[in-house]
Amino acid sequence: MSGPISAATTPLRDVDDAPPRERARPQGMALPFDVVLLLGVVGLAICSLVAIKTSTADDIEGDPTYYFERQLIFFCVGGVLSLALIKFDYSRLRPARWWIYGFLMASIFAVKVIGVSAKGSQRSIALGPFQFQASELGKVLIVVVLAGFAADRARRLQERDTTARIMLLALIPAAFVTIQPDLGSSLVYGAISLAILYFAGTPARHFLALIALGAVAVSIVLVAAPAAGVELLHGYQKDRLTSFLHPSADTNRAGYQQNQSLIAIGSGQKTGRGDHATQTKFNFLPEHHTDFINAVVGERYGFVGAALVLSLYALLIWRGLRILTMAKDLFGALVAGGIVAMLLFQVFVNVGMTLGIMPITGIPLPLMSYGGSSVVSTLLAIGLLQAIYVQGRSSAAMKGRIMSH
Amino acid sequence: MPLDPANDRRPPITPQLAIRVAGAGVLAFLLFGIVFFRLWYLQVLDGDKYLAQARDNRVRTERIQAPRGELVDANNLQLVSNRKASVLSLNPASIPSEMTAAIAEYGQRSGQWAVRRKQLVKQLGKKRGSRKAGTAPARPVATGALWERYQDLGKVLQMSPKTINGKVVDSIVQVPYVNVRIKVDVPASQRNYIEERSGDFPGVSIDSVWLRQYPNRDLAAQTLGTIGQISKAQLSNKKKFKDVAAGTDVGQTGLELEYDQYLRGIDGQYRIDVNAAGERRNGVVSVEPKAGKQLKLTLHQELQQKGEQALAEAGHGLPGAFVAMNPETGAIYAMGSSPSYNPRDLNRPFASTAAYEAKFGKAAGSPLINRADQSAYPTGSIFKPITALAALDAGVITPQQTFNDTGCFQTGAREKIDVSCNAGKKVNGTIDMVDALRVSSDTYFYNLGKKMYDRLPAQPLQEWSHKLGIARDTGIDLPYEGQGTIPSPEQIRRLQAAERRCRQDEKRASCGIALLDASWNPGDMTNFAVGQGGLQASPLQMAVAYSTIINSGRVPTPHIGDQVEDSRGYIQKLDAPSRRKVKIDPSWRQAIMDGLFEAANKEGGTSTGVWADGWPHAQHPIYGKTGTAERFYGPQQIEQDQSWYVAYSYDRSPSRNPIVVVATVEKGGFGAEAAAPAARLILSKWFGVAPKLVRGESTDR
Repeated sequence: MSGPISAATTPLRDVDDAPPRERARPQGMALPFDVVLLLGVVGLAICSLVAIKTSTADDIEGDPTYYFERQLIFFCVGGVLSLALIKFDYSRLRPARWWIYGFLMASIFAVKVIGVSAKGSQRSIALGPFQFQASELGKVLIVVVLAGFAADRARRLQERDTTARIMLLALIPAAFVTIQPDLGSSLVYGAISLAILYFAGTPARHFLALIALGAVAVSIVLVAAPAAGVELLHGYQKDRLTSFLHPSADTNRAGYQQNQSLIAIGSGQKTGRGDHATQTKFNFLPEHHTDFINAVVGERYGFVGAALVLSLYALLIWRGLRILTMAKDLFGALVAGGIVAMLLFQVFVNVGMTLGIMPITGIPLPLMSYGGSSVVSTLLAIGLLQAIYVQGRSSAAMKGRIMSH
Repeated sequence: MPLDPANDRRPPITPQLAIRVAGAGVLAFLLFGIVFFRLWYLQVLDGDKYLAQARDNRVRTERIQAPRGELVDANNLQLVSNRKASVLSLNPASIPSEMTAAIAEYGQRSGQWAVRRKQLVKQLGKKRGSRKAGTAPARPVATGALWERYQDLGKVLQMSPKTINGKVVDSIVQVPYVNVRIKVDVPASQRNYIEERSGDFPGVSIDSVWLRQYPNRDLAAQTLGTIGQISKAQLSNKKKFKDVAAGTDVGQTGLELEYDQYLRGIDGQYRIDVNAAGERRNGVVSVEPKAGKQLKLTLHQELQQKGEQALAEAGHGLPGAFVAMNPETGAIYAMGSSPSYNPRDLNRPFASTAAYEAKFGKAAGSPLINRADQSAYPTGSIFKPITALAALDAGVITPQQTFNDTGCFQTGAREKIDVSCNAGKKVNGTIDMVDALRVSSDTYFYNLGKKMYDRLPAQPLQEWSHKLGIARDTGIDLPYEGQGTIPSPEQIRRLQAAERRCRQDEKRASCGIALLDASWNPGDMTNFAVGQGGLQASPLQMAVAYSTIINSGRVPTPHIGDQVEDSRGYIQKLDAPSRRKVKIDPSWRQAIMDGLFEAANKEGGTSTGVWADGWPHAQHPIYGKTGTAERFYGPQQIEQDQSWYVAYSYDRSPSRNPIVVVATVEKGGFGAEAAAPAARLILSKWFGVAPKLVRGESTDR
């Protein structure tokens, strides 16, 4: 980790209260946004559409392009929103953070009250023909909320109180999301909050304390509480979380999907099985267009295809970290950091799950998995990154530098 | 610190944040590294393993056998039906690889041994050759755990483990990957015992299969035909056997083969999801099997039964054949070939080639051959009406023109050698065509033959033989129909060419196909005129030829299939329209029909005696022609008479019920001795007349 560096000794300059400046496009900037980031996103969108088109052709009889068409719509809607965000002054979100937080909590409750059940959980609200999954949008919202809160408390990050509040802010929605049940999203919330603490400069001892607390909590949930007769997690959730440790031991239940996923990816070998791919065709791999889309890529296009997709994600993460360093203010940097963490965590856990090195948590692969809420939310996050980039660039051009005295 | 944005676009950040970002970058790098390494490991290093699993890991579709259509006679009596049977089989994959390797080696050795033995027998003769070849290599015997499995299984099935071992070895040698059929018709008690303890019997499966059932055993076996696993050649026949999976039973001979596309059902499918561990997860019937269509035949089961009995009774159980057909429509009422066999026996595995030969080989009378339509016999005198037609058409004679039958006829220039005589040198005196047919005068027809020989290069008899259906397909709905031959100068030259080729290829002094110095001479023609001398035809072809004369020239297409009916009762008529017409002058027909009538009715007729006692001539007039063909058997070419008879009759009531019966008995003697009495018994059954076996005493051919 970063060592005992604290924000107090090297405070970031908070420019939020600075008087509004006249914006002007500096000379030499051909394009007003990060082209590499855009290309990465477009590349992933193409990969996603190709993978979904080929893997779901047999899923709905008489409508081989059902998922493909819908995913295409999601990308278009998300893309438009994302492009709109580029010109958006993200700083305006900071004063609105409590409204955002309120909206986040309300939407999570709304799901519980008026939501639609799918596959045993109640995670979404019907919006016409589409379903709005609040926990997905929540991932972006929580980034903004926590970044705003942390930026407010930039000078008090040493205090345990700050760390605790930030964690609490994240854990309340996470807890409600967990009981939907959507364990995956709540883990993402946790990862985001840790990342924001990290980028804001929370002392290492706080992290150590959090790790200790987490270990205690996990052992209570998994060991102590069941021993005492209280099951906090659903049986299947526990199975999923632990079965990756022994995937082929129980090929009929929780380990089945993972085992099938391993077979799918492994059988793709170097260049993939193309149309001879059987794992998805014969539906051995359930959820192949959502959580296990990486297995589809691995089977059909082999190491070449899977590596290409991973490289695109690496590109995204790199651009995200770069944008973090270019942000005009701490809020922007923290938002960028939260988004990077959100993407990295989801990519690693999802891909790791398909590769058998991470438990099955129901986390989608951002921009690849089928699903409107996930695609649109992730594109919104990308839009925010672009906005941070644009404003960082222009303020740098105007001022030369921002984060020094 | 002013900065030129054009030169350095990246604003500097605090070192602390830079370190944190760097830390995040390192973490991201590590995570991607882990994922890439794992991906590399799974796909590139371990890919083969997973690919094998993926191939093994699929939806298995198991076939649900569709029952074949039944065969019923004209009165809907079952001729071939189906029954369900439990078959216990062993999956060869459950046999240890050492054993399968041993079996493969045994298969190779025994194949080499058989080839060597064949060569030795050819070189040294049967006795010394087979002694020198020694005994066949012994089958490998299972040991250890596999033997114990055989013992356990044998205890339940009441079979010796040795028998099971033999079945396994034989099956794997023939088709290595197909399940070994251990026992058919497993009783319910054994079935339940094994299914409840499936863990104790690895690789054993019990399936319900449809088996062909032959309620009348060997009745019309050659006509009905057999089924068997689809052959390689059939599999590649995309037209007739479209979409038939390997391992399916399809028709191999007879009607089963001819109408296979109707009789064969469409197999259903049982979709079973199987995981990588080979465990079944769930199974559903995805395609219901569709039963084959029922085939209704023109055969009359009772007539068929009676016909086969009559042939055996009148023919002393000698090989022979008969055809009973409607001369107008070509519908075959009965058609039998003796000896026959039970098709069920053919589908059973044989312990050895010798066991097969004993049952279906030459020594057993080649029961698989349908002598009614696949044979090629000299026909003897029943050919005479064709000679008469040809002579009339060629203008060498008129019906009324008389001929002085002195008992013998000078066919060529050489005094004693070129003389042919009637049987017993019987002198018939002055006869016309009707008389000649009545008494079956050979000399009369020798004379016609000689006269037609003089017309060379015109070949009226060859032409007429072909017109009436000799040496051509009758068009019957049975496979592998025999064509027979018409002797002619060209035919002799063809045979001589074949002989020369054979001598050259095999470097032998003689192949026995033809004499190279022979030529077409009057003797050949006179022999041909009485249905000898190289003429060969099947009983069915003779039935068609007579029917053509009866029909005044319209050639019927003989057929057995009448209609097919699917499970929903939809009926499809199978029609066999007559395709040809031969121009026959009514006066010629009249002369021939008169001759045939007198031969069976008038004093001196060759078969009058057969029909004399108790046949209701008023109700069912008989037209009949005897035939006695000289046929040569064995290497010594011993001449033996083959008995032939053709009968035509009908009901004088409006229903008519016309029928032509052709019967032949190999080595049966004169026509009136064996074939004619058989024909009488068949007609008795057809017209409901009290049956009576009356052997004729005619000594005329």
